[in-house]
This record gives sequence, C-alpha cells and structure tokens, in this order.
Amino acid sequence: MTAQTVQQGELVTVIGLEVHVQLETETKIFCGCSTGDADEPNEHVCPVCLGLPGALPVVNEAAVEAAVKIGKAIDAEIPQETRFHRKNYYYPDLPKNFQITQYDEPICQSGELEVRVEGERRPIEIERAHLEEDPGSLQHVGGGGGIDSAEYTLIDYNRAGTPLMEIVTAPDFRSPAEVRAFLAELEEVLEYLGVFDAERDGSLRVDANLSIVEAAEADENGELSTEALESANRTEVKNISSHKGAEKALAYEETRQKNAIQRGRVVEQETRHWDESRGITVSMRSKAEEKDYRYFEEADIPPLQVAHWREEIEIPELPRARRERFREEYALDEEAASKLTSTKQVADFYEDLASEFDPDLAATWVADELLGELNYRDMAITELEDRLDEVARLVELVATDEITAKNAKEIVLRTMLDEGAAPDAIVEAEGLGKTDEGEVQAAVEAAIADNPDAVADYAEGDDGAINFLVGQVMQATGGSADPGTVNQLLRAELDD
Amino acid sequence: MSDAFITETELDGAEDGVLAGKTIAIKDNISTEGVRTTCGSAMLEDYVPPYDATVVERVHEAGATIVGKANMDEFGMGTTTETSFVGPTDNPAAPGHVPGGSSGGSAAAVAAGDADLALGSDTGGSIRCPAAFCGVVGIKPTYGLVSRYGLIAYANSLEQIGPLAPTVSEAASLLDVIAGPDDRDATTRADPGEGSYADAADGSVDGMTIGVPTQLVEGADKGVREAFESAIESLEAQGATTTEVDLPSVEQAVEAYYVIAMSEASSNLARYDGVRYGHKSDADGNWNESFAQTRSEGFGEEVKRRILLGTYALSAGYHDKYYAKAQQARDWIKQDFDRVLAEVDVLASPTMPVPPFELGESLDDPLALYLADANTVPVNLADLPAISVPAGETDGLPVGLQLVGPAFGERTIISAASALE
Amino acid sequence: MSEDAVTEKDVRHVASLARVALADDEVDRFTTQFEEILDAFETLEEVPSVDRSAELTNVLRPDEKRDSLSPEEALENAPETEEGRFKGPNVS
Repeated sequence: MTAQTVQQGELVTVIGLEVHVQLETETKIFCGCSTGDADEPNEHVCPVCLGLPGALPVVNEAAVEAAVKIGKAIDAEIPQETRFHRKNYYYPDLPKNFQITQYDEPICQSGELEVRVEGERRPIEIERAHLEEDPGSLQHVGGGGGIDSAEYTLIDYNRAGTPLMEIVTAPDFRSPAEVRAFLAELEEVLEYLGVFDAERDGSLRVDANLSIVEAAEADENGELSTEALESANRTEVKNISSHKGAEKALAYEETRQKNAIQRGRVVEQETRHWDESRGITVSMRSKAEEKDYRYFEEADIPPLQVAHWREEIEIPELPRARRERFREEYALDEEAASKLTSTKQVADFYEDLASEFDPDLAATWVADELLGELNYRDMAITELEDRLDEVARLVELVATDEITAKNAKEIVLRTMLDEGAAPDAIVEAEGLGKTDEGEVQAAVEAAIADNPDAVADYAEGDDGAINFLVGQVMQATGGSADPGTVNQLLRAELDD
Repeated sequence: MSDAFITETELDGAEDGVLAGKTIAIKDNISTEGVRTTCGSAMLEDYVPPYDATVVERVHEAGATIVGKANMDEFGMGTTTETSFVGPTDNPAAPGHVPGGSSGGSAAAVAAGDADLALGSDTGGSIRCPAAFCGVVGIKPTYGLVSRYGLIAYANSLEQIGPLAPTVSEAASLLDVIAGPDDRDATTRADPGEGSYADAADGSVDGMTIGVPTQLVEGADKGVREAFESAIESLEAQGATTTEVDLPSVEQAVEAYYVIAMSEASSNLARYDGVRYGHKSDADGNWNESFAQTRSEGFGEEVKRRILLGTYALSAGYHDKYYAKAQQARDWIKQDFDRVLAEVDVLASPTMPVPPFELGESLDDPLALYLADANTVPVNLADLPAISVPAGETDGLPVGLQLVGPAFGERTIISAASALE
Repeated sequence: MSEDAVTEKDVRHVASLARVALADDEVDRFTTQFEEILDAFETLEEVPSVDRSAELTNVLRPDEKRDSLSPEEALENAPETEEGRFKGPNVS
C-alpha cells in the first residue's frame, strides 16, 4: 500500500530531518587530498578518493575530533565502540559504488538541540549523528539540462571524500518555521565549534520527511503515537541547501499535501525534488522502489573507541549560553546580545573591547556602528581581527571626548574601513581633534558678539535662538567642538 | 597456452639492497605504476595504474628487477588459474596439469626459473595451493603483517600478499623486505617478534610440537596422505613430536569462507562500471543499463557467479541467514585455532587434499572445486600465518605440506619448513 | 533441499542489484548452481555463537595534505572524458 486518504479533521504537520554538513578539515575523511577550493575539476583526487583498484581508506583524526565536538555540543552519547559500514548502491558520483558511512553503531547517539520559535522554546531530539564521505559532483548535460532529460553526465571527484556529518532528528517538528529556526541554531552552534562554514557552497544539505497526520491521533499531551507517525505517508524532499530554503520548501509541501487531503485526494509516498528557482517540489521517483543497501562492516577500517575523547576535548561556550551570560554580565538587551553573539568572532571581539571600556559604549560601537558599516561593505569582522587595537582606540577617543561620536562614526570609522588608515592619523588629517577649551570659549564669545539679534531673542525667552548660536560656534570650530558643551558655555555666558 | 606472464617487463630496482641482482614476478593484481595491471580480467585489460603498491615500492628499493606481471585466476577467484582472460598457465613441474590458483603464474614463473622470486596473494589458499602444485615454497603471512595498499581487492578481510620462492630461506628473505606497517593500510600491525625471517630458516625443529588436525587429513587423496606422512616422519626424525588434534570448526570453514569472500567481492568489484577506468560497453542506455552491460561483458563466469552469490548473501532477508552466520562461524574458527595453538607450536596438514588437476578437468563443478580449498581457507578465516613447502610427489605430481602458526608466528613455521629441505 | 528454493526470479533480482546483465541461459545455469551452493551453506546454521575477540582499534592519520594525482593522471584510464571531467551515462 503506497497511499491513503484521510478524513476531514484537524491536520498536523510532522517533519523529520536528515541534515548533511561538510566538516571543516584540511583534508578529506579517508585520504590526504585537500578539501580546499580547486581551480580545475579532478585536481584534488588520489587513488583513494577516486576509488582506484587497490586503494585503501585511512580515517582523518580531525574528522573524528569534529564529530566528538558536535556530539558534546548536542548532549549526545559517544558509545564505547563505533565503526564504519559500507552502503552499497550504484551511482556515477560514487567512485566505489559504495559509500563508507556508519550504520548501527554511529559515533553520536541521542542528543538534542533547543529551538525557539515565537518566544516558545522546545527541545528537538537528535536521534543520531554519524560520519560519512561525500560523493563527487555531477553535471547533467544535453536534453533540457535537467536531471530527467539529460543525455549524459559529467563527473568531478574533487568533492568526493569530503568529511560529512549526517545529523538525523526525530520527527519532532510541527511547522516549517521550526525547521528554519532549528537549522539556523544548528549552523550557529557548528560555526562556534569551528567545524563548519556556512558561506561555503554545498556545506549544508537537508533532506526532509514531511507527513500530514490527523490530530485525532494525538493523546491528551498532544503527542502523536509512534504508529500514527509511522503509518502516515511521508514524502521525502531533497535538494534543500539553506535554512531559508528549508522553510520555503516545506511550506510549499505542507500546503500541497493539505490541499490534496482536503480534496479527498491521495498523498503518494514518494521522493520530491525542491526546485528553488520555481519555488515548487517536483516528483522524482515513487519511493515504492525498495532500496537494499546491503550494509556490512567496512573491514579496511578498524573500529574507533573514542568515548573518552568526550571528556578530554574542549568546546567553546555555545551561542545560547554566551547570549545569556552577555545579558547578565554586560546588562545588554536581547537584541544587542543577539547581534553581539551572531558569530563567535564578533562575540570574542566584543568581549575584548568590553574588558577595557564601558560595555554599553562598546556594545553600541560593535553592534550598531561597526557591524552596520561592515555589512554595508560586505566585510566580515574577521577582517578586523588584526586591527582590534585600532577599533579600541576609536572607542577610547569617543569615550574620552577627544572627538564627537558623529565624527567618529561618519568620518573616522568609514575612513578606517575604506582606506585602512589608523584613527589617530585620520583625526589629525581631518582636523577633528577636540578643540581646546580656550578656542571654544573664544568662539562662544565671538558668536555672542557677532550675533546681537540672536542674543536679544534668547534674552526675551526664545530658547531656540541658542541653537543658532551653537551652529555658529560649530562652524567656527570646524565642527569639532562638542555641541553639548557649546550649548552649556553659551548659556553660562548669556545667563550672567 | 599462456606462459606465466600476462605482461612482461624489465623494471630495474635500486642499485643496492638485499634483493640486488634478483628477478621477481609480481602477480597481476598488485598495482605497478605505468605497467598494465589486469587482475587476469578483460575488465582491466587496458588498465594502467598511476601508482605503485607499497610492496612494489619496497621490492624496488631492495634492488629486485621486476620481469613481469604474473597470470592469475580472474580477480583472484579460482584454484587453477584457468579463469584468467588470457587462458591458463601450464604447470612446469607437471605439464598438462594446472599450476594451482589463483597465483598460478607466480608459482609457475618460479618453478620454471623465469623469475628468481615472486609475489602472490592469498585469500583462501591462493599462494599455498600453487606453491604446493608447482613444487615451490609459498608463505601466506599473518593478516596485517604485509600492506595491502595497491592489492586489487577481492575479499579484503581475508587476503594478504606473500612471497613465493624455490627455497624457504629465499621466501623468508623476500618476506623481510615486504613486511611491516604502512600508514596507507589501516589494518597493518607491527610484528612484535624479534629477528629476521631469513635467520629463522635455520633448519631446526628439535623440540617443536606439531599438531595434526584430523579433519584436514582424513579427506585427502591416498597418495597425498602418504607423501604427507612421510614428510612428518622426517620432521620427527629431526626431533619434533607430533600429536593428533581436533578442529571441529573446520567442518564449516569452506562455507563460511565462501559466504564472506563472495559478499566482500560483490562490494569490492562494484566499482567496475566503465566510468573511471576499465572496459566500457558500446551499448546505449542509462546508467543502470550501461553499467549492467559493461559488467556483463567485462567479467568472466566465475566472477559473475561470486558477485551474484555475494549480493544474495548480503541482501535484505538473507543477511542474517548467510553473512551474519558466516561471521559467527569465523569467530568460532578463530577461537578453535587459538585453543589448539596454545597446546602445540605449529599445525601440519597436506596443503591441498588432492594432487594437481589436469587442465580442463575441474571446470564443470564449481562446488566441488570450492571444497578442494578445505585445508587452506580455515587459515585465512583465522587470520593466521601459513607456509607450503614441497613434500615429495604422488604419481609424479607435486605434493605440498602446510604448516600453520599462531599470529605473528612466521619464524616458527619458517623454521619447521626449512627442516624439510 | 533447502526450504526456500532459489528461483529464476531471485537470480534476476540479484543480477539487477549487482548491475550484471544476464542472458537467459546464464540465468538458468546460475539458478541450478545457486540451489546447490546455497544448500551447502545451510551447514552454517549449526555454528555456535562465541564472544568476539579484541581487534585493532583507533587507527587514525593526522589532518595533513599528501600529494594528489594530477588531473591528467586521474583521467588517464577513463574511456570517455569531456572538459576535464569523467563522462558517464545519464542517470534517469
């Protein structure tokens, strides 16, 4: 039986995910070929990752370390022994026509990750996470260029053998929005661990299983029974490569299935391909074709006993915990704390700054001014890693009233970013230095002397006349006097 | 009739080294950079590896000259070298008979003097059988002693590369050259023992205890048994003591071996699809159709048979009945051998229960041929070392005696074998 | 005679899984042979279960680059290539 009809009634969306993330290691999982960007196809290949006869896999230590870090971060168990298995199937992107993966003894078991959607927090169960090798990249040529009509396939094995972590969740999601929030949180955690790069093309791939279940199947806790979950027809949606894409694809799929059900039509159990450019999912093959992967142990790789690595390996403070600490320790609001922990690099940068200056001032400068200017220029904060002291100097200049905040942002910061110059040099070149007190005083007296009408207006109670005089003083001092101070000095003179 | 080589070469080794001045034949499933490596199969008829196997690098560094790639049963699957795509090699020690398999070309090259030494591979007896049939010495090392990097896989949890030579001491010297851990093969381990293998060929067997497993002698051909018993007497005369031992687990060894070997083969040979190397069919079709045609054209019958049976043994619904059970049998066999080797120094048996077949005689009954491996396969399942050394003749046909040692017990079996020369 | 006799259908199914095209006479021959061979394998039912012995573990290599093949070497043995890539049949 491949399909079923569902009676009218409340319908619940049930989603489970299989997330594949590429791990950031120098070399591939089973050989010493580079995982870096290649200039040509088939440039980073060797007998092992090309699957040449006689080649043998040897496990990359860094991939195992990354897996243990991930396990620790999601509160998963690392079992006493973990081993690799062969998953046997034929496809041109698979050099050996089997994939070395993990089957019933994965390196991480039973973890969880909390997601927050609309203020509500919920743990999502992560059933397992395991290591495996990435296949090569295919190009479908001829016909319409699409996978269905192509005449032939061109293959580049540069990607083959890149270490992957496959993370499998329980069918705990109840909406596409939750999926998006989860994936965003997961990406953030993985980046914090230093094992993942969201910017890298193809570093995240998601297969989602979605089914629509009748709410009547839920018990008093709103929990759906395992039978209900397993008996519902599910579609597998493939070709999702971002958290935003996941939400769109699943929202489309959810609507498609609900529409079908509400019209009394049959929902096929099948695999569908997400077409991002058209915004739809397209049927691939019916899932009725049972896949027999004939899993058996990979005898070329001795088992791993790395449970004790969990204690020994250090992981950094994770985003959520860091956000909460920032709120408390630096008295920041939710929004500021969020911006300042958006990446580990930003958070580290902020904390260095906050250790020297007023955390509030540092927060404003990093969260609002600096990040804003960086985003506008499409720059990453890591590009300023070596210039931390210059940013600190800029904040110091403002903190000690040497320059105005306005000048600091509009002139100094922008020039620092655009021309790479240091703050002091810019201040000097642009003459932004704080005008000395004597100069300001003289300008205040001059403004009063030169503008008797404004003085008279002020004497008669027109408070706004002061602004005109402030403007005159600012002009005279080339804008570098502090307006607040000028205002005070004028009043002091005029009120006498 | 092909001679011992599929491809002849003249690849000089380094100037100095323990094998300087020696010629060596390399079985054609061991990768040699720039030199065609066919595995005795039409599938790889034109395949030229871009890299050397680790053992080839070591042999080269030791100064040996590679004179050819030796004939073999296709992909190592066979006991007679008759499944090779170039046809069989005649047995120089018994013309008109098979040289054994699957390293038949390697043994024949040494027996005929076409090479001083040879490397073969042994998955279920493929070094020891041809050594016995051709009247030369062959060693299957402990699993993990010799690197398999570059050995084109048939059954990766069972196979090892090993030496063939006219004498025990020459085979031992070659073993010294190729043995030792390799960071490209994660299953290799260092031999914890001391002293070279060559030094162990000292002909001394005084005080050694030899166990003779009943199950490995009782089914043997009468002439083979007589030659075997005569050799045993010779060892006893030199101070060894023999005792009968019981190895009940070997009753299931052939079946366990074939299930595991065929299952692994079905996966190890999946890569041959005509995309990256090897034969490609001219027929049209999508990837499923094209692959099926290519593989049908490129593989011989025995290879197809084992791939299909192996696929069956691993498939859904049969995995537990066949593959899982075979692994269980393997654990039992390991335990059984450990038990008897705790009581005696070495085990002795005829290498093969029969003398060399006539060419063409054995081809119609695959099962009968599988059963001829009964004496050799248990050793691969147990991951142990074994040597076959000439032990006379029956009706003018060579007979070999097999000695099996504990893990990393190569020195002991080399020592005992050298006492028979 | 084993309980589940091997049928032609089984042989064709397995040939499909293994991507090996078989002629009709091969199917016939294999069906007969497999029957006999699998029958012999029945003896494995009698095997007792024993504890697994300790094995080699934790064989790892450092995350350091090693020489790769050049693209020419990689493509050298390929029957068909195009623009530096391996050419294979379409996948539909």
